[in-house]
Amino acid sequence: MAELNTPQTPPLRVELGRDDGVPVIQMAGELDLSTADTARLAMAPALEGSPPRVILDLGGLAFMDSSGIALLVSLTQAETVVEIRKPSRSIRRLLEVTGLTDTFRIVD
Amino acid sequence: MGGPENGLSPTTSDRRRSRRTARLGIVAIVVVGLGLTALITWASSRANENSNAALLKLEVRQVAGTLSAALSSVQSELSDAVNEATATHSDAAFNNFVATRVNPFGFVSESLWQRTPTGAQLVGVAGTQPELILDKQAPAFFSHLQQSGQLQVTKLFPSHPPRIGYADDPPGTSPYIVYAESDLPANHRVVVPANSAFGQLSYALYLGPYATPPTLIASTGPTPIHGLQAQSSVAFGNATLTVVATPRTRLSSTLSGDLPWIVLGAGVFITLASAITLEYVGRRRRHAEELASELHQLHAEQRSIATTLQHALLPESVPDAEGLELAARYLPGADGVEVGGDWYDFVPLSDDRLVFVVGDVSGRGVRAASVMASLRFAGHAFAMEGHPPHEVLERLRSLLDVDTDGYFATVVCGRIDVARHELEIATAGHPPPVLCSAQSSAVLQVSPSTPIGVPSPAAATSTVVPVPAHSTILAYTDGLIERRGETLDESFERLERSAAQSSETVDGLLSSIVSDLTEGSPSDDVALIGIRWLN
Repeated sequence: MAELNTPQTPPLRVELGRDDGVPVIQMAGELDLSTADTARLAMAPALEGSPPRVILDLGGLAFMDSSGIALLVSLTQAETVVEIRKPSRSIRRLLEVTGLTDTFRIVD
Repeated sequence: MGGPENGLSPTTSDRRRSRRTARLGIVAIVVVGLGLTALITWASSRANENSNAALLKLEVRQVAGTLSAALSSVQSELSDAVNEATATHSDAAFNNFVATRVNPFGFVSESLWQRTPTGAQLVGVAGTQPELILDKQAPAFFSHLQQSGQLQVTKLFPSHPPRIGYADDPPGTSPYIVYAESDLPANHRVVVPANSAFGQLSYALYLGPYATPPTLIASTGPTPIHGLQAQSSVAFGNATLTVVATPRTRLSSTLSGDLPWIVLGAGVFITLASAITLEYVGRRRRHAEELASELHQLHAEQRSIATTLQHALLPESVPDAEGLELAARYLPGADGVEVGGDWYDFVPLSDDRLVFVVGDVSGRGVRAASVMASLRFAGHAFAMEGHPPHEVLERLRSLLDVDTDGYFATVVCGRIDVARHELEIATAGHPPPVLCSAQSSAVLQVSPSTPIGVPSPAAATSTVVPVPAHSTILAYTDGLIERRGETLDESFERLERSAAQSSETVDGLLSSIVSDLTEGSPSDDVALIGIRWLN
């Protein structure tokens, strides 16, 4: 479990785990320009060795902007199937507008 | 693009001034510190001297008092002898009486004299012959005797060893006077044991009120005594005894004596340490300031390079298009140090049509900018060849792969038919344009394909939108609308509201929208274009 906290109310919290051998990245808080780099570093261990499948649990993510989209797109490299779980309505809308609903496997 | 060297010369002179100020501060600290040290050292040294002087005075007074007290035992011895002679009226009895006492009292000579009208006549002697007689001083001495009850002291006899004499001439009816002489120390030198009561003093004893060589009785060292000294005179019979003394060692405590040196050492040390620390801190601060200034300058240079590059990659001016009014904006993000990946482009076609493209390469920096440039120029070429918007996007798609290039781009491409009041539009993951007319202001409903660089399961499609007269189309990058904590739909609503305001020119409308949505300083880069039908 890796946890990245910044002082006071952490704008973004990233937790890594495994579900049946599949890396699970749980994100909570806000994923935007100011936290995207932090998130990228925090999730790097889960992506080592280019696993065929990665689960992104966005259940706790209140807000995401285009920087978050860029981060999600970067996960699709190396033929990794990225499964996005529990995106909020606004995140789902963002994925629609950016034409990425078919790029990810989206699970509620 | 003001040159960064504009700020250089005042910075250098500022630095020089701050260095001068720092140096003045150090000099002031050294001066004040050493001044205070000198003052405190002087004060504590004075205090020590004063306490030494006070202690010395006290000791000298004690010495004088002790000597004076010794005199009373001499006097009582002499008066005992007078009483004995008077009682027995016999010099033989006197002789017997004193014979046992000459030595114990330290007298070398004790003699009995009988009063005569002019003085006194010797009756008997115990011990050695009195110097008073040998020196022929007896007539003068006895003629001055008064029955005062006070011990009468002679001057010093310059014999070897020197002597001093005393006579007791008690009031009353006795016809006798007893006279005694004591040897004084040879060469007037005495040795005081260091552990005796006055062992820490060097002193000289004088007969009379003045410390002059002929009146020296004895001293513990060379006379006259120099340095810190105290003098005290006490009555010695009818004469005066003067003691002059100086301390052999310090009389006050060691701490009191060492204090001035401790103060001096500590003061100088603290002053120098402060000055050195201040100088060190000052140098470090100046160094940091110089670094910060250089960094600031580099930052400004980089900013200016980034802006220059960005503008070089964007169209120099908006083209003229029949029946349309065009305007465009590019704003670097708040940080602005790196080149952004946002772009816009207009492609006027020959047949009364115009293609516009707005795009945004993910990431920043020179590589993102070069990706942006290749996409912009390729897109321009594809549009010139007459391809519809979705075809332009599909062709761009073959130029970029996030998997290998590390970048992807969102792009919106629209083709305007001025005469037919039609817009044909396609997006690749890009936020859709806004169409605003007198009646409404709304984000266009377009079905997007994936961003350029991201594999797409289905080909992009174009949507044809009818455009009312005098409508304006706004295309932009996400830097214009994104706001922290706000959902995409809330952002769209904000944009729609701002776009609905009436404005004389498209340029003026863009200014208002930028100011409404970003408050003048967007955190991310912003590209924004506006296209208005003139009829």
